[in-house]
Amino acid sequence: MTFFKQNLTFLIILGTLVGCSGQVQDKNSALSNSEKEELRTNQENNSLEIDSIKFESQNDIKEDQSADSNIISKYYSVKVCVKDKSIAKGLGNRQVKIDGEKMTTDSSGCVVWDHKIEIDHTVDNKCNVYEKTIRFSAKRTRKIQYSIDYLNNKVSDLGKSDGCVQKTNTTKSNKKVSPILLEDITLTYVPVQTLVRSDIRWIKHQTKVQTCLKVRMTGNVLANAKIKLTGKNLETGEEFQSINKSLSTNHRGCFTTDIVTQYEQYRNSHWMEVDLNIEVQSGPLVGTNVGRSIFINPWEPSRSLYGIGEEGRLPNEEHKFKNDYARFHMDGVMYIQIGNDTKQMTVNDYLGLTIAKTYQVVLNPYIDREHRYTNGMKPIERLTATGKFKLSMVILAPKDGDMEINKNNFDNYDFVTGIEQEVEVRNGIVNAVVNIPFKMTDLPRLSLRTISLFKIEPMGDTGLQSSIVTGFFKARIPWIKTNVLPADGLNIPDYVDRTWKHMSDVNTKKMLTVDQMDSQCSQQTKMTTEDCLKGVNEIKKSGIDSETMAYRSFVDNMFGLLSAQTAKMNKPFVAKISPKKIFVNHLKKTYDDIEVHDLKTISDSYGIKIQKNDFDQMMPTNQTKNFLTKNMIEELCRYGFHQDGAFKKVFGFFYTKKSYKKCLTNPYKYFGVKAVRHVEQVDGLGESYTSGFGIYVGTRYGVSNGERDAVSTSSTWSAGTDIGGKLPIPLVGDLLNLGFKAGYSTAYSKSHSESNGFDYGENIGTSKNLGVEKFVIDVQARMQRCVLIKSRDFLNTKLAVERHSQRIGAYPGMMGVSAAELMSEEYMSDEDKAYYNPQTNLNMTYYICDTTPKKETFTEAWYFIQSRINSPIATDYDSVNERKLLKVIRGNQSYLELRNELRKKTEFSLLSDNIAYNTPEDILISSWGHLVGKNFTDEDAAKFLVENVEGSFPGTIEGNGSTRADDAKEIDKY
Amino acid sequence: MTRNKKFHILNLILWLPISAMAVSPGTSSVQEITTFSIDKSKNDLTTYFKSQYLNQDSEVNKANQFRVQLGLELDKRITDQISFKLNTSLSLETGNSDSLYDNNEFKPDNSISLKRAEFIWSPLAQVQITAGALAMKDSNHGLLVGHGTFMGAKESYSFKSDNLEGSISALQSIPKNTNYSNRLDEVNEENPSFYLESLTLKYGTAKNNIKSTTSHFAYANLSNSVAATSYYLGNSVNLSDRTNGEFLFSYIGYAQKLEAQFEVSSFSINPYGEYIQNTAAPSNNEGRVLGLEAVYSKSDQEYTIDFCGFDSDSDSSVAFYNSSLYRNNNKRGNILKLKYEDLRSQLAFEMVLINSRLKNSIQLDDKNNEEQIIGLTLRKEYDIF
Repeated sequence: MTFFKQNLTFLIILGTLVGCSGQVQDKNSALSNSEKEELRTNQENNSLEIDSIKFESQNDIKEDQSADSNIISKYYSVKVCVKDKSIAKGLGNRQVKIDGEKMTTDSSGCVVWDHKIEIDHTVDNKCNVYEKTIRFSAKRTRKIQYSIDYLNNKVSDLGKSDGCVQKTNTTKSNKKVSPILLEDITLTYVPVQTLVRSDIRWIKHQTKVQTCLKVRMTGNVLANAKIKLTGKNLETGEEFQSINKSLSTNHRGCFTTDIVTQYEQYRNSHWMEVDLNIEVQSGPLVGTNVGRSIFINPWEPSRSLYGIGEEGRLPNEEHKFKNDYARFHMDGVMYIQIGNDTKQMTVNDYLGLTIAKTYQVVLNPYIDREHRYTNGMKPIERLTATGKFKLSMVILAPKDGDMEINKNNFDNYDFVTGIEQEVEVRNGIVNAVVNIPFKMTDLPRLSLRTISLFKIEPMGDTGLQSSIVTGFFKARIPWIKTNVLPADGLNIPDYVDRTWKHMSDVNTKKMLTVDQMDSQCSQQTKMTTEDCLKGVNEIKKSGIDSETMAYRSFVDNMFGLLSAQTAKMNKPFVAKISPKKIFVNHLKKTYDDIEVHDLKTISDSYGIKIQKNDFDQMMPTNQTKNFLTKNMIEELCRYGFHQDGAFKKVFGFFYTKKSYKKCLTNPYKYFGVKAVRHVEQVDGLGESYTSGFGIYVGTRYGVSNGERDAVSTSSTWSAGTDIGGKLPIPLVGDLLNLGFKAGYSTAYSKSHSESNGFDYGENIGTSKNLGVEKFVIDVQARMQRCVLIKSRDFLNTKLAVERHSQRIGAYPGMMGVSAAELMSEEYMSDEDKAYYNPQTNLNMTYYICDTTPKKETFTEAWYFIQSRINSPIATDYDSVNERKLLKVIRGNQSYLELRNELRKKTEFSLLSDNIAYNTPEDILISSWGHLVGKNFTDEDAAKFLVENVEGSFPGTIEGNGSTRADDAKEIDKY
Repeated sequence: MTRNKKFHILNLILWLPISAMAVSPGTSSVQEITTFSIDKSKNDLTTYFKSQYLNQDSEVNKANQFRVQLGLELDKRITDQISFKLNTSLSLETGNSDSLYDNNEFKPDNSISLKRAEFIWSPLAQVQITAGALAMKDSNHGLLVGHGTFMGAKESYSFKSDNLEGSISALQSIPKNTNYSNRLDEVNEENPSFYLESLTLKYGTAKNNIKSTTSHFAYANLSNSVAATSYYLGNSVNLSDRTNGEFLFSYIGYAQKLEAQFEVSSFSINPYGEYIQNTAAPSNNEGRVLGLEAVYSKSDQEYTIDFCGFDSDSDSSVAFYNSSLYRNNNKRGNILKLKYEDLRSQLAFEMVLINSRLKNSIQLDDKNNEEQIIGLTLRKEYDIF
């Protein structure tokens, strides 16, 4: 039992002891088998250790041996010492392969190899990472990774530290940094290089550039390096290079050079951004660039701050310019009437005359730059540099008594004339001689108050903005300086135009208030929103409205049509109707039974043989003689009284009373005759001259009741002024109406003038002077020569006397009147007058023309007659409403008739002086529309009639030509 | 001094040069290449003289070593229950060694070594408690521990029936650690421990039997120096420097040995096999030995021929402690032993040929990882008392 207990006890004790080994913990119990395997893997190959890595030596390689030359590369000898902890004897003096290259370790187990590192002067990471394989044997091989920071000359074993390798979480600057440090750039203005003219866009100027360069990596100066300085003007796109093409930095890394760039001389003062770029062309930094945006303002070089070249510095643009470019500015325009340029006069086929008045125009153009930053520099300055510009001038005449043209009344103005001329600015003055073409028919209007629009603009696109000013133009005043009126609405910037157009495009149905415009700028538009908002702002500020824009458009149109209008001066409205036809049309209205013949048809029809020589006799050079040649008398009398005529029986009936012989001896009792020339084509102009004289009219008892809207009034008494009494042709008042055409001022308007009120009599009881301007021109033309032959009506003596007295009532020679006057009174003897009309009517009304036209020169005269007055106070002398007598007539004879009648019958003429009477177009058409027949629209007919001179038929010459001798006599008489 | 004793002393003196001339085997400071068992149950004092010659040839290590060893063995029963065993020796060595890693186990050295100093207490016939310096070869697991001497205690319980005998035992020991550092700043380590629990069963007669030894083992707190040395012997070690390291894995596992003996007249055929596994290592954690020994006995003379193959993974056991006969760890190879023993004159001669190669050259790369060792050992014992 004891034995058993002892055994059992022992076994129990043993049992506990047996568990001892079970209590030993696996130190890796927390690891899985695979993790344990990793331990084994990690343990592999770590017996070969890198003991140390360091530079054995280090050498800088410079460009040259000078002290300040740049380092271009570095030589490093890297000494790597290895050891193997398992090898007691160390690794000294053993063969080893470094990346396959056989080497031997030194006694300390170290190997040395070299690195040559070209210096990268960029500011990129200077950390070079290398990997080498050190191989003693297959298993005793180790890769070593190490980094060399050649900027700080540090080598690091990447197995032991991060070395110079940047960690991923290091914040890097994204900015690309140049390896070159650019110091502040000093910019100095050097005077301009270009010969400055005012009509060029670009001005070259020079800028001195001074700065220094450093190597950013080392902080040393970039000495003695070849560099290339280039740049680009971001505004103009111009690319340039420094003047000195072989540029180098000096020993301090600095350089000074110049650049020549150009700027637009008419841009308003602002900062231009210029990108400068410096490329290094030699030395260690070759191929690298550094750049900077600089700012220059060459418009104000005298400003203390000409250029901004410091890093990061920006100019402050305080002023918001209305326009990017400067604008012309005119204070006043002076013009001096030099005279008539007779060489420039033109006559059209209807004998419409356009004269050329020569003026000297003097003006001092300024330019408005809106704002100047420099103290003492005015925004508006004289334009002193020489240059050529285009000066445009448009003369507008008011239809009514408007004084100043503006946006509210511009449609009351008509275009009269204008010029476009190249002018030159010299020493700040435009001094130009201009020829302004005036149609004779416009002279009445021009002698009143007219408005001139001046526009001066560059010839090419120089950026300078044109400017339009308005002023008064008084053609009759020989010298005037008109201080031009501001015309802001006409000189708005382009973007305002475009903004306005955009607004009207977007909102076709309604007008917007300016406050509503802002939101419209975001609409789809061809212009930028920025420009649009700028435009809206300007519209608000300047109070631009639709009237302004219409006014602007009107003026633009005036200038735009200037060339065409000027041409029209020289070639007025062309009708497809010959002067002969016009004349015949008129005859047909007067004589129902008129027959138009040429020499052949009159011969064939009636056997009346009229010779060419007859025409030559009736129409010698520069003269018209209303008489019957011997041949014509014989032919006409024979036809009238002989049996072989178509009127034989009729003649036979009268034959016993009036003999053929009596006809031959006194033909004018039976026939009236009038010779007429019709221009077929004006071939040229010969000698011409102008003269002027006055007519004095004594004190009259003038009364006026010129109620202007009473057309009938005018018609009534004008009938009494007809001189048609010389021929027994009943004349209607229509003829006289045309006689007042000169006062007509709304040529093309169809609307009836609404003007009312009385035109008071002119200077009742005072004397009156009339001024006469005369233009005489030798017109070389092919003329058709015709003769009107009218057998006389029977007229008793009483009626004859009555007619005769009526004739004295007005001046003859006006259009229409002449048609009835087949023979002037001068050619009649007293006896003839006693037998003014025969007791018989041969019923012959023939208009016979020469078969072929004849080329000849006829000296024709045009007259412009206006009343003269001395310094009126109460009356507006220049008003279209208050000037009474302004007339243009053609033909010497018409003038003489007018003059005579003015002297004889002043009271009538004064009554009819009211040239301000606005004859409506329908009156014109109804009175004279028959002249042009039915080939014209009413409007064209009106144009045609208005453009042609009153007092004569278009293209038809009835009277005698003018000569200087005549004029001398005239002056003597006066 | 008896005549017999004088003879023994004379013999000893004579054997020294003879052994030297015959290139006698010896013991290295670390391990010895020998299979001699000196632990015969004796009740008296015995001296022995051993002469050993060893030649090692490999790419990494080369050695020629001659050793002489004088040993003293004592087996003394003190009381009925307590006895004492002692085995100590003096080794004198000369020769040369060359080692790439300076770790040649056959580096000539002179040493006095204590191989065994055990107090054995048997309170019961079945129970045996042993304490002191224990000879590890008793564990009978050459792949686990070799000829080292651990300080510790062992408890065993034996039982026996007709044909079956067996024992269970438990060992708690502190493994020998030869080279602690004396540095002041040394990290204070705990004492290393080695635990081994075994079950031994033997079945059969004295002439024909099968023996099985099954053990569970565990090392704990192995020292840095042991680890460093073991690194060179094949273990997976994180080497800090040449003398310090840390084992990658713990060593806890099982060992199994099977032996058999079949005697036919004068011949004895003894097949044997051994297997070890360190379960703390994920792989490369096994060791195997398979061999056959044939013994021919004629009167007092025995001729033995033994051939075995071994295969020891890198982390099957602690290389510092296991038998260098199997070339520690990470090796495989063959061993041929030829042995002659004259029991009467207590003279033995043995020749051992070991041919091994590195299993895989993880730690150490050697172009030619073959190694040949030739060991010649002559041993003579003298009974003093």
